Order: sequence, then structure tokens, then C-alpha cells
Amino acid sequence: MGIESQDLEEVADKMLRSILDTRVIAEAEKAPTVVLLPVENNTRFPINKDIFLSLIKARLNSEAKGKVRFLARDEMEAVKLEREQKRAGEYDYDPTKQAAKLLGGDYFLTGKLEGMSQKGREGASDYVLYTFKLIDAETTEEVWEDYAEMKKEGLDDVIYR
Amino acid sequence: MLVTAGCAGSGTQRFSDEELDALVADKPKGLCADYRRLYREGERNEVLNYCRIGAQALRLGLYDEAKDAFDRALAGIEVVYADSPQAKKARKLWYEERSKVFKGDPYERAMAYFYRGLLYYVDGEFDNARACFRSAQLQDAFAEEAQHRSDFAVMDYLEARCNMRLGRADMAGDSVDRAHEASAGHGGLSFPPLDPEDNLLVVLETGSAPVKWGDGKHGEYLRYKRGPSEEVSAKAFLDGSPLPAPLRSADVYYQASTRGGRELDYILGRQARFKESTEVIGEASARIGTGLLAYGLAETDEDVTKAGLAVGAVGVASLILSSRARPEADTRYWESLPDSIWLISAKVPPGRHDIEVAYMGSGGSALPRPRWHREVEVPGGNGVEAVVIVKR
Repeated sequence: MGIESQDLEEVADKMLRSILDTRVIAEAEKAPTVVLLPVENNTRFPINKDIFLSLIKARLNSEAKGKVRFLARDEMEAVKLEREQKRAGEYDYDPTKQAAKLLGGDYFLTGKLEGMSQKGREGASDYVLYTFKLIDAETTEEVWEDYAEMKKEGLDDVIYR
Repeated sequence: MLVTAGCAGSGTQRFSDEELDALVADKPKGLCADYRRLYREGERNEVLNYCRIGAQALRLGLYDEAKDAFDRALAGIEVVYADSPQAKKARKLWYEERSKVFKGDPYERAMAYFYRGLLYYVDGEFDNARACFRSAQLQDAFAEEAQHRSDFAVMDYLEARCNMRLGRADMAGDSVDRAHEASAGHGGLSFPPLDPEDNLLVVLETGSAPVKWGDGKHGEYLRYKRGPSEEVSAKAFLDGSPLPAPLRSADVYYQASTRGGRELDYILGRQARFKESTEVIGEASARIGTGLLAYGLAETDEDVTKAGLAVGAVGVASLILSSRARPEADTRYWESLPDSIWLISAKVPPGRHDIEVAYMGSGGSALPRPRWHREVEVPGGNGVEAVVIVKR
């Protein structure tokens, strides 16, 4: 029982194909910038929930080169420090690469895991619904959403019931 | 899951002292003995030993080790042994139930989730903590009587607290209602009010784990008794000043003992009846066979002598079958669980503080033992809290 690595791969694969087909990605003149927001886990399984978005991001970067640009907001402090040090003359750098401002995000990519679970002498069953969406960071419009669902059932040997 | 050096199946592992020394060399000193036991006892007691390690790590404040141990225990607990040869074997007449791979009784599985949930809570991963408390409640769904199913109310309360920290006041209210409903059947349990301004949660324990024992002539019926406890309550102090009185929020013995009968009890009962009947047949046959043999030899009656030998052989065979039948219930249990869980929730000034816990005896006086003591950094600001786990 529980969320396993093959579930992660199946879900990421489905989301990858779906997100690449969405109009804002497929028809964009310039590759949009995307910020990852934390995935919410509303199931009974403690999981490394960020791994879903990490895998989707990695596969997008790998298989859809240049169609989406991700912003490393989790490394903001390191980037800010680096910029300060360079501008203060502490570190050498190529002035032509200086950016006036950090990039803003066009969209947020986030997800939610929700579950329904039952357990008893008749067995155990777990249903997990994975939903992911792309949110316009200017207007809040949800420009893309897709889902995947998994159901697992099991009955322990009587010796464990 | 387990280090496989030297492992062979689910039985006790044959490690030399030198091999065990090497295996535990990188473990914290206070956990070495438990890790040695883990490696020696192998797969059969792996979940139980990881639970013991997790509890000991909590006691020592080694939270990273505790997380790892409970993660491994929970991975074992979630395994479904549907067509497992070892589970089938453990149901057979000639094998003890305790030969099975230990997964724990529902209350033990729930407590493994409880501790892991607390550790997620300490780290501020409230959704993962909530998941653990939900799973803990789900483990309690096996009780025979409906009113005892999923009534481990402290799990609902802690789920409520997680929902509060996640900004889900609506879900928090539902969870708290479930907690009160679930605890209604067991008087004496209560929970701190949910207040997002509170920045200190103290989880403390008193008493000893429920003890499992085998009732019936052959120990075939699994029963529970309350563990021995010197302390009956506790008081906590912040920099020497009393914190609000702890509220008794869980009775672990109650959870264990209200499970009701197991499906396996019926199987073990039949095995016990087999053992008894073959014993009776064996003794009777042996007596008759001995009598016939003695008469046959005395009267030089070859037919009677042969009959005596035959009946005696049946008697011996029955006694052998009887002696090999193993209907005893599995009484392995997680000894480092508490009898009761208490909660304190408070709003205190942010900063570094000393927390002390004194344990009280039945007369209401503090027991003559050193107070539990730890320093804690209490944060300021809404929605963030320090969590102190006082593992007995």
C-alpha cells in the first residue's frame, strides 16, 4: 500500500505530456517562466511531496528543451548574495550578463494529493487523486489542470487481522 | 530494508561479535544495543526493533535517527502479506504464531505513526504530520465492536492541530469534533483548546506499555493487561514556573484492550483443541496399550501382546502430535510504549527556556527521581510553535 516510485513516474509522465500540449506552452512565442509552489498532501501517506514537481520539472527541462523556463525561487538568498557581491566588486563577473532585476514568474505550477482510505477486517483500500495546475501569476487564472488517480487494495493474511 | 550482510531468511541472524561491532560502528552510542538486537533478530522482529530504536532515539533527543527508524518500521507495517508463505506457515498447527514477521497490533502500528507524525510536526511539515495521524487512526479500524473502531482520539486532535497550522480552520473544527466524539466512550480524556496563538506544545508520557499475555490452557488467547506504572501523572515547568496542567489525551492500554477478538483466535482455539484431544487420546491409548501389553506378556498371548503394542504406538504417536502442536498466541510487544499520553499547549514568551517535567505518584506527590529536563527555543509569531516530546 502507499505511494510508490512507479506511481510517481506514471503521474509525472502524464502531467508532462499534458502540460506540453497546453496552449500557453505550445503556442507561446517566448518560453514562459514558471515558479514551483509546494504540493499539498491531503492523503494519509507521509511522502516527499516535492519530488513530484521536481520530476516534472526535470523531465520538462530534459524533454521539452526551451519550451518552459523554471525560476529557482528556492535559491533566492544565494542568488541575491551573489549579485550583491558582484556589484560590490568582491566577485568578478561579465557585465554584459548583468540583469537589472530578477525574473518574474509568468505562471505557478503546483499540485495537490488527496486521498480516501478505508481499512478493516475486509481489507484495506486507498484512493489517491493527484491534481496539478498552472496558474497565471498576473490574473490567477488556472490555465491548465490535469489529474491522475490511483487505487490500491489489499487484504492482509488473517494472521495480521 | 535490513542490512543483508549475513542474513538468511527471517530467523535469527548469526553475526559474530566483530560483525555486529562493525554494523553498529556508525550508530549513536545510546542506540548501539538496540541496533545489535535488530541485526541479530532479523526480519522476524525488524518492525518491532525499529520501533524500539525510534522510541529510544526520541528519548535521547536524536530526532534524525528517530525519523529514519520509524520510516523503516512504517514501511514494514504497510506491507500487505496477502499470499505470504511465512504468514501461511505461522498459521499452521506445527508453527507458533510468533514465527510470523512482526507488524504489531493495531495500537502499536498506530503509535508508530503517532511518533512519526510528531516528528513531522516538529519540522513544520504539517501535511505529512496530518497524514501520519490519519494513518494512525486507520490502524485502529480492526476492533471487533463498532464503537471501538478508530477511536484513538488523540490522533484526531493532532490532525486538528495540523489543519489549524495549515490554515484550514474548517477541517480543524471537524477533526476536533471527531476527537471529542471518539473519546466520549472513554471518560477522563481531554484535549487542549486549539489556539493558533499558542507557541509551545508539550507531549509527555506516563506509565508502561500494555503487556500481552496468552490466556487459556495453552496460551492460545491473546490478552492484555495494564503495564506497571509508578507515575500516574506529571507536571511541567517553564523556567521553574508551572505550565498549564497536562491533559490526559490517550490511554494506550484502553486502545490495546478494546480491540476485541482476532480472527486468528478462532484458528488458535481450534489448534488448542486439537492439542488437547490428541493428548487425551495419546494418554488413554498409552494406558490401554500398556495394560494389553502387560496382560499379553503375562498370559503369553501373542495376539493381545501385538494389540497392546499397536495401541501403545497409537498413543505415542498422538502424544508426539500433541506435543508438536503450537497454538500459543504471539505475545511479542513494544515495551517502550507508555500507558498514557498527555498534552500541554501554551503561549509563552519567545526565546530560550528550560523545560522540566516532574512525575507524580498515586499520592499526588512528586516521585523521588530526577526531573526530565531540556532546553527549548520557543519561536515568536503566529502559526509557529516549539514542540517538546518527553518520551518516557
